[in-house]
Amino acid sequence: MYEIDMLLKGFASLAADPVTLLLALVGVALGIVIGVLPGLTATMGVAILLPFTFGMDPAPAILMLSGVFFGGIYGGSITAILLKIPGTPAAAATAMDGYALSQKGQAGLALGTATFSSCIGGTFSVFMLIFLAPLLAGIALEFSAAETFALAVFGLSIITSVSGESLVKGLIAGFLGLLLSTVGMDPMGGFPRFTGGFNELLNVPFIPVMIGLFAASEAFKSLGQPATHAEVKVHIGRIIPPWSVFKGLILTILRSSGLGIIVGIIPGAGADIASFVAYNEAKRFSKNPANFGKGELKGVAAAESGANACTGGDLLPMMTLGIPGDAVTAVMLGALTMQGLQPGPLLFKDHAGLVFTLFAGMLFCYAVLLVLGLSSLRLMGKVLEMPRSILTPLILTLCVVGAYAINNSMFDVGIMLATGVVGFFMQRWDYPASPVVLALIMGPMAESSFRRALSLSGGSLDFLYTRPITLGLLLVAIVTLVLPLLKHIRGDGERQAA
Amino acid sequence: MSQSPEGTPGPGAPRSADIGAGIVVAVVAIAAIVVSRDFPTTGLDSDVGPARFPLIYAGVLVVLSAILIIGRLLPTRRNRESAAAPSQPGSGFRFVPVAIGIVATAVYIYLISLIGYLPTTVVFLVGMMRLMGQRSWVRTPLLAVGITAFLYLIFLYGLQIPLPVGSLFEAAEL
Repeated sequence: MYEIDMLLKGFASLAADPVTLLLALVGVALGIVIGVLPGLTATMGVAILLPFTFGMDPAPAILMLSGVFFGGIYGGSITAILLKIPGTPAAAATAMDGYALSQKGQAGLALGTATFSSCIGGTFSVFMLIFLAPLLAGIALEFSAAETFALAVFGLSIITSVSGESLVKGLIAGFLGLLLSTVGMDPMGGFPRFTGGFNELLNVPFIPVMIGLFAASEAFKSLGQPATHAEVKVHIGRIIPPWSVFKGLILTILRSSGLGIIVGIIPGAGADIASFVAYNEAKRFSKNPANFGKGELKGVAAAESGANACTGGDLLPMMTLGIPGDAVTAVMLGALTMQGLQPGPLLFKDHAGLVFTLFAGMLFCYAVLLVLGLSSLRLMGKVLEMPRSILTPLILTLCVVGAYAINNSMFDVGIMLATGVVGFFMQRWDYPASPVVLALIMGPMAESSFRRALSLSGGSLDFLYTRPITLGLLLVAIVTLVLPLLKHIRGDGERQAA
Repeated sequence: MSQSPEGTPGPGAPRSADIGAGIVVAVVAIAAIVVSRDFPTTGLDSDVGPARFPLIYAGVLVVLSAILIIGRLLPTRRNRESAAAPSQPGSGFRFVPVAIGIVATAVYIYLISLIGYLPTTVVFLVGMMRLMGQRSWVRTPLLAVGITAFLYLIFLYGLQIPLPVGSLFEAAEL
């Protein structure tokens, strides 16, 4: 079978490259630390560390960032269990039962279960990626400009589902991102738009924007928050769950992994949604649903396997279609582009060897996560004691040097600062940042493919409704766009009635 | 992760902030429309030209900002409650350190291009750590020097990217 054969070749190529394995390990370790520290998320971790991969070969660079991504999602569970502070939003579901178990003196059992569940969920999702990605890429390879346009519109339509509280604000953020995406060279005629005479803006530096929006803005926010000091005084106890206990969790882990993968594939839905969906389903299937929230190990297993199974699902549309489903995969897409690799079906055709090396490396990352996770749990209390008064200045410095390192340009650093300030106010006033980044990626894709399709059809708009895949994708996009709108209007109506 | 930093719920934007942000967005969009009108046309039936997409995006932004502003001006229950409520301090959040931090970062970036990464980073780190409550005059500078040197060496030897030495020193070398 093609996939198995390629995967084995991927493992062979990894085995011959210990530096790549070491960097993947470093990525997972850093990811766990980032996930553990409240306020630091996987997205922020990947954005900050992205410039450090500049100059590396593609495999070590992407695997290090994948390690940060996977470790970041998992790491959030540790503080959720020990302190009821979800290190990442995805760990909020884990906190419900994990913390209750900690209070019963079973913190180790909860942490061990979270680690095993994360690893199993994540590994399943990478296997799904291995078998589904080439299939989807094969289909997408047949896409012409018209289908690519429809795909970009579909990708953009998910802005409504990542809009958070206010749909209008989400849409404003998305359309601001789209307007920003038109800065630079016009994709057809090469006319410079909104550059103000700055050559640096002919190609908008995308990575400094992400560092600003996801890392600098968080650091600015942290400056205004009151100082807190986290101290772990929980008895951890036995970490590896006994077989008799684990046996009872297997079905929950498998079911939650499946759910996590499906949620991950849906653009716009990420690990936080996956963990809650998996948690709710585990509760629904349970014989003792009343135990959930009071220290039910199945709750921890479901939330963690669901959240981590989401990672492979998230990567599927990004790698095969070039559509990032959320902020962290948007940053990962930036990393691939920085390496000269254009995510999309051609990636699987032109760089199949590299893609399967990455898949093999991702499986390695999850194996490392299991070992590092289980062995470092007792040390994580120390990580938590790192004061914010050191962490925040360090993050700001990393943002500055990271933004500089991409193009050796202080102009890029200025862009990072500007987007950091904008990102801070966006957070304060409830404007989500994800739509900006998704629009920045998919705006140029939508415009250039629309204009190419129009040119190929001699100026006729027939391609919008005469090609079945284009029509289908546009219809799905309309539904994706309209459903949250209807829900929003109905919600408003109900509030008025109340 | 729709709820990752981007989705972190804020304290709820005050009415004036929503109206102000709506006006800023509308001004940006109108400016984009004005500038786009001067973009050249291709004269071809098979291309919409460089102005069409920015015009569509900016047009939608004008409509959305109008919805936001009007929504906050209408006498709805939420707006009445918002107007009646005293301004909330927002769970101990303080804007002054944020403003100082932003200005300090801007000055830091300016000074890097002038006198280089090494001296400015040490001073910036010491200043920011003190702003955030690190009071020790021994530990803080030591940490700042350590972090600065570590990053410098990683970039120089690990990534082969020399960090800026500053235009003043570059001019002196010439």
